[in-house]
Amino acid sequence: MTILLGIDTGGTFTDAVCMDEQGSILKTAKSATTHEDLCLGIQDAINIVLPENVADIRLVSLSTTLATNAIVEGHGSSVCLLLFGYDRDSLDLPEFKKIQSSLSVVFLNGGHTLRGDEQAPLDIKQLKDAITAHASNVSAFGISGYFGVRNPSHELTAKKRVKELTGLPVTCGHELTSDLNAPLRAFTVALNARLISLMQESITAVRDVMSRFNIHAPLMIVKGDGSLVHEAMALERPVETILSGPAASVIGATYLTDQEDAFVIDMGGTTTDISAVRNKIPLLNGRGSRVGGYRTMVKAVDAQTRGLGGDSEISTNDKNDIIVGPGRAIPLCSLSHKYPEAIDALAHQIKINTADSTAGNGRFFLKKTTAAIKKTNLTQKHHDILTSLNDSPVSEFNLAQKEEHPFLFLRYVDDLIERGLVIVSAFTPTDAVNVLGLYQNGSSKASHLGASLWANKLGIRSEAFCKQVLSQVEFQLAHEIIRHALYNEGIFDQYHKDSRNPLLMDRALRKEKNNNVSITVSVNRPLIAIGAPVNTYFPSVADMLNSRLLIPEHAAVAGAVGAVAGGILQTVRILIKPLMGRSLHRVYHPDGIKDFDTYPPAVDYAERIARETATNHAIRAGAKAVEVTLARHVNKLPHDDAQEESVIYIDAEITATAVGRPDIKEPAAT
Amino acid sequence: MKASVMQVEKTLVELDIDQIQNVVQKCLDEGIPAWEIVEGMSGGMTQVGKQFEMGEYYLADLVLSGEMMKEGMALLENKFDMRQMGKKGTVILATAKGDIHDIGKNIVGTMLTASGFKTIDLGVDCHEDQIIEAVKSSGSNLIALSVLLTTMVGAIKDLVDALAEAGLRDKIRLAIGGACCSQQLADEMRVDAYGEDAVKAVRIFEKLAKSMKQGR
Ligand code: B12
Repeated sequence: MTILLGIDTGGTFTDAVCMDEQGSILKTAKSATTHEDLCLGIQDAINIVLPENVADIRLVSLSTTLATNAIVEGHGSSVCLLLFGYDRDSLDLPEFKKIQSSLSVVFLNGGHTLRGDEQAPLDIKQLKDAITAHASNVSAFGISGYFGVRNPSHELTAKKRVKELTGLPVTCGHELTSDLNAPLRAFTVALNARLISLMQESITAVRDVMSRFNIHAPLMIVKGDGSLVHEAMALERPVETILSGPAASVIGATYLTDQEDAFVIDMGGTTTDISAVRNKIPLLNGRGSRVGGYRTMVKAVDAQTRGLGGDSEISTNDKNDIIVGPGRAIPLCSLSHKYPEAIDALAHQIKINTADSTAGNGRFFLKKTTAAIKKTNLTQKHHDILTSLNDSPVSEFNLAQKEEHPFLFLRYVDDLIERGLVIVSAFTPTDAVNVLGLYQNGSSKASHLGASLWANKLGIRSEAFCKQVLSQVEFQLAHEIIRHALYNEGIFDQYHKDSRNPLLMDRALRKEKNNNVSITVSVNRPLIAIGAPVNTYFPSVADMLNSRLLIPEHAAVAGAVGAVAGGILQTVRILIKPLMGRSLHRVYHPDGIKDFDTYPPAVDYAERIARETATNHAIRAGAKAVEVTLARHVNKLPHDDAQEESVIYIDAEITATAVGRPDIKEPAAT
Repeated sequence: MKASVMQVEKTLVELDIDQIQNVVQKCLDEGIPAWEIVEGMSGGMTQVGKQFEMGEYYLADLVLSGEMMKEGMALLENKFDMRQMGKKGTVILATAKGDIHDIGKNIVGTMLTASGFKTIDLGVDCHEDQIIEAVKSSGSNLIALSVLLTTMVGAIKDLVDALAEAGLRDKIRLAIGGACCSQQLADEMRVDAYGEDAVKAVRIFEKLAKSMKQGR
């Protein structure tokens, strides 16, 4: 029997699934993620799903938040960036400032022009000196040349030299992207280099866990586009694993529901991710994905994250409409479970609130105890607030009461919340669910008291208030899905520009019938909802959107399923451009440039090279039975001047897409 | 169109170079705004172009019409309200590499200055590197590229690519215009806007400047 083992580490839980070759799910597991040492969680999860015969496991595939977390938290090792033909001031990006301290940048002669001609020759001596000068202080090298994606020859020469002279890992800009943007390419290469040793550590650790269980199988990692790569390739290009987790969930959700086109909504405690799938492939962010405020040139799943979940804070706007999120809060029920004194505080607030003073608002602050957070740029006032808080919750009412300027005081607290130094506890949708008795969670007493505070303030009954909270969650979810759908069509900006559009959309989503005109809206692709709270909210959401809802059986472990359900996918793009003023057609291929007198042989050559390169990449990524599809996009204009050729080629782009299944290990001969 | 402006247009089409300044002056005397006179001259130029295409006019006639345009403009140059100059932003003007047509670009420049923009004119046959240099040194984030020759359309793409590689594409707005341009071409080349005449050019840059300020 052949078993594929999928693991999804990150978030709160580490999940594992065993799948057979026919794609049936045999076993699933969930265990707590151990952030200090991810391997413990992985080990626990594997332990639960381990098949009787361990030798049946022929592939282990991992989706990991390693790269994403490292970038967000600013981790990474010291690296050296070799740049050819770059302007010194071109690295004036905010991104570079954040990684400055562990980055050595060397500006070298070389680089190319738009046409792929040498801008300046490579200075081998200068290059060699730079490599030897930095080799002992860094863990990896990154290389990028100006217009290196039009002619990578300088990058390739430098890569060879780095390998010969140092043996250290080294990655080039043209290997990570074929898009233009020299400064951002340099940054992406630097980011990649920084992650290599972290990726190495975690691959070694996972390998250790595997051998502890006697699992001998290839190890693959999920990339941010949802496809798989062999561990060796992931080591060269760790930056491509950003958003690995969301991508695996999308692939898993689509696989579990057997859909080709759909919207996938992953609802967690505090956030909801929305993404789209077309032809079983997640839609990618063509402009490059952002992670933790950093722009990159990596094309990963285009998941939009919204601060909307069961643990989102409830507030009201100036019209007293209920708003959910985007801030997160510890639900009152969970708070009082740990700190029963919160119940008394809430009861006291109800008592003191009168018709004209509703200062008791059921909001609490806690100090976050994690030591890792830097307390820079804080004023004395911020520090005073932090000292006045301790590990048990303090109500906003009690704190603000002592202040001369409560409003100003709350601004300071907001700063601390934004920096993650203070956590809020308040009424959340989870509390509303509790009050309505939909399911039990923590202490429902606190939820009831919180609901009363709100209901009194709004002049309605507790139950009515809680129902309003839930329908507001549903409404906001529906609206976010519409926005994402419009964004995918490229018309969100137009929609958003005119404030009447959202107004009409409101009317459609709330199915209002009291006006002269009713509007019906429908989302024409199914919604796949995964995540713990979706059963509560999504039936209504799908109803608002008049679309089909699918909640797969193994939704809770969709990421782990996605890790083994995905395949290998590698694309190669080759550009062909006529050289202006000369009747030559130039092919910009992955190793350099090649000129042709006429257009047809240039295309033939480009297609052949694209096919070969994509196939090779797919095999290196660990694929078998590789299939390649070619696409040709030609930009040309008719030209009716009798003396000249009748068609003017602006450029043409050949795209080769290679797909394949992971090459699983053959059973050991016995 | 007012009779005297029509006279300007007719004078251009008839290539009566001795009369051009007289008819322009007549319009000014009647208090006709300068930009209306420019429109008259542009109309004339377009007709000359059509006649040339149909083989009715010779190349020498084209050159002559260009000269007439310049003479007419000479009278108008100081008639625009320059107090507003530069308030709306700075536009870099250039004719694409390989292309030497500059009459249209100059009119666009005059109209932009007249309506409150500062302009930096890089002239004709402009290589993308020159334009990038100008963007970097001036800090301007608006570019007007004039392209008349179909054979030089590739220059638009080259400029877009060079801006992208320099990391500037998102920081600037680029508009194109001229005989061989169209909205479709602008879309294909991922250019922010296309305009068919100088009046449109002003509106386009007002809009683009505003969108830059809003960070979009
Ligand atoms: C005058 C002229 C010339 C003059 C130019 C003098 C000069 N200093 O500019 C001379 C005689 C030098 C010339 C030379 C050539 N020309 Co010539 N020329 C013309 C003609 C007749 C008029 C151009 C003109 O000035 N129009 C008047 C102005 C006001 O209009 P405009 O340029 O279109 O500009 C307006 C709008 O387009 C817009 N606009 C312009 N730029 C921009 C920019 C932005 C951002 C915006 C928003 C708007 C905008 O606003 C302007 C004002 O309203 C055109 C015909 C035509 N239909 O355009 C041919 C034409 C452009 N020429 C042509 C050709 C082929 C040539 C030559 C190659 C001829 C030859 N065989 O040698 C050479 C090219 C030399 C070179 N390397 O550039 C062809 C181009 C064909 C093609 N599709 O490629 C045309 C179309 C004539 C034709 N049908 O054959 N030419």
